[in-house]
Amino acid sequence: MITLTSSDGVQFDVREAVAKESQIIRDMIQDDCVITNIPLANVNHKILSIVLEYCQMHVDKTEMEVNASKHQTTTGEGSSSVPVALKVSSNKNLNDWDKEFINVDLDTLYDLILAANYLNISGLLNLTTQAAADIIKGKTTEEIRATFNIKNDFTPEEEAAIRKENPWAFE
Amino acid sequence: MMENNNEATSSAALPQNELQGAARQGGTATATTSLRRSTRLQNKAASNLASQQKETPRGLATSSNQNSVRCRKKNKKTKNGVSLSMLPDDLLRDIMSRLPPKAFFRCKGVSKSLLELSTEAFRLNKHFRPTVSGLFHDTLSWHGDLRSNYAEVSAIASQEIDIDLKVLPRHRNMRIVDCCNGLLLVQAWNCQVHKHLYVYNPTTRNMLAAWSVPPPRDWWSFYEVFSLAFDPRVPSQFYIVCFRGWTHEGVDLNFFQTFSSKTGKWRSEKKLGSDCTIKIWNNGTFVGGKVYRLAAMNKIVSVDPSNNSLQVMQGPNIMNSLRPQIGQSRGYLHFITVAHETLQIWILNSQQHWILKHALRFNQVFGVPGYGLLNYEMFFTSLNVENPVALHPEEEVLFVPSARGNLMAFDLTTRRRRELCNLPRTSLLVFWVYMPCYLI
Repeated sequence: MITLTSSDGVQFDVREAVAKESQIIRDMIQDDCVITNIPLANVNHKILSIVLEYCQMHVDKTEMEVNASKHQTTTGEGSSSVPVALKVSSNKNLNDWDKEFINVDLDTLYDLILAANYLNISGLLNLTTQAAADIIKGKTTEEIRATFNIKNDFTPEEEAAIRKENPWAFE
Repeated sequence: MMENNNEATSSAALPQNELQGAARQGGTATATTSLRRSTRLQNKAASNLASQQKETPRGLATSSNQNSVRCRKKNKKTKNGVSLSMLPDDLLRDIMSRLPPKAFFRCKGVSKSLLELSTEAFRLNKHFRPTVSGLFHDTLSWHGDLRSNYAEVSAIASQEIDIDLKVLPRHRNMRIVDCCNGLLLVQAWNCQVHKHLYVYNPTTRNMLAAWSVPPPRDWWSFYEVFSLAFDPRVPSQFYIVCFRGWTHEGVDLNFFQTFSSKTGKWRSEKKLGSDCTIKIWNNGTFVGGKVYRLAAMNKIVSVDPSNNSLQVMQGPNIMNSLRPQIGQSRGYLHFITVAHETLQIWILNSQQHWILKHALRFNQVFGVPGYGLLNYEMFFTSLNVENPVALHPEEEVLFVPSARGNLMAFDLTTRRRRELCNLPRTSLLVFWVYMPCYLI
């Protein structure tokens, strides 16, 4: 068991495998094997709990798969198509779960991206940045600015010049 | 940054202090994630725990999880000024590199900081990696007019492409005369005497240049072939090399001239040399900054359009060969011909030697039964294909027509054929392998 402490002082006890989903924690544990309490200065408890939920789910799923394949090898051959089907369905489930998991408001998404980056959890970083890209997709330039509170710092001439480069994209 | 984070979280459905009071028990039945409140929070915890627990824990497939997801969904819009642009540059770049073309260019126009990041993001974006979207080819309409047509290889990559060349002015005949790294050179005419020439990017729908070619004095014996030279690494300019001449006895194109988009001018005409004449019906190709064209007597002519210089070399020495053509793949000049019952693919290595890379059984590639050069010649004639093979510019793949009139992809490593699509019966002459270019 490892204790992770969020920036606002909330402590989470997690299994080592779950914590090790984060590359940065994995490195820490490897460097110093007696470490049990890790303070995370850049993640508050709200975001940390969501992050840990993600790690937990992904660790559970991988373990389930490993167990299933172990079971398969012990029961012998003859039904080689089963583990493949099992794997596919569990992958599909996990993707569905990810999709539902990432359906959050923009503030949370923003914090999750930062947390995934800080903790170096590649799966979560992929998921969150792709989610941000998906939100941008299909929006006009104005809508992107409105959604993400971005100020237009171009002069009208500069903006016209950019549009002129790829007019088809702005139709 | 930290302050921002805290601000951001407070905008969630519940006020900050209540959130802190809520126990967020790791989740699953097997979960060992349990929450230990620090002493600072302990007082509030007990009273709030019971009331909030239903709302907040995000367990695995429990009803309370559904609740929390729904409550998080409610405020999609950010309330307190958290802005995407406040993310560190490398993360913003990561997000931009995931955008499909249209969204990418819109995002680029959002703000100065995003514009700055777009150069690197463009390089990383997989949508902009060179991929073959499809093949342009010419077809003859029932009225005898030439039209360009498009055979799709990748539906996703073809999405944004103006395959009907709608942006160009309408003419009765429109024929693609060259295709180079995403740009097309299109010749268009209503009557044979007065022709127009366009450089067009069907992906960005940019018409980059247009000429109206005045009729030469004795136009019935006057011929021109064009080569387009565009290097995506230098997207600010392109060249056109025009080989021309009068054909009195056979084919005799022995003048050439280059056009640079930078100067907007044609350079003065040069003569190829008396022993060197360009073949009209063969495609040229553009490799390593040079335009290549097949010439008579098994010669290959190369022109460097940047300095208008000319070189002549010999093609591979093959007896009794049929339908020679040249092309490029992965930066190497290729020479393809039918000889000795095989389709031979030669490659010009860096020491400028021709190497026979593949000798494929004719039947294996085209699916034509029977043997003999005459039979092959009849096959090509029946298909109306002048240059029967098109090379994939990045992979070990050939695009070929089959005897049944389909377009096939032939994998050179596995030697397998894959059907891509049906070709119109009136398809003719040449295939132009098209890779979208978003740079110009």
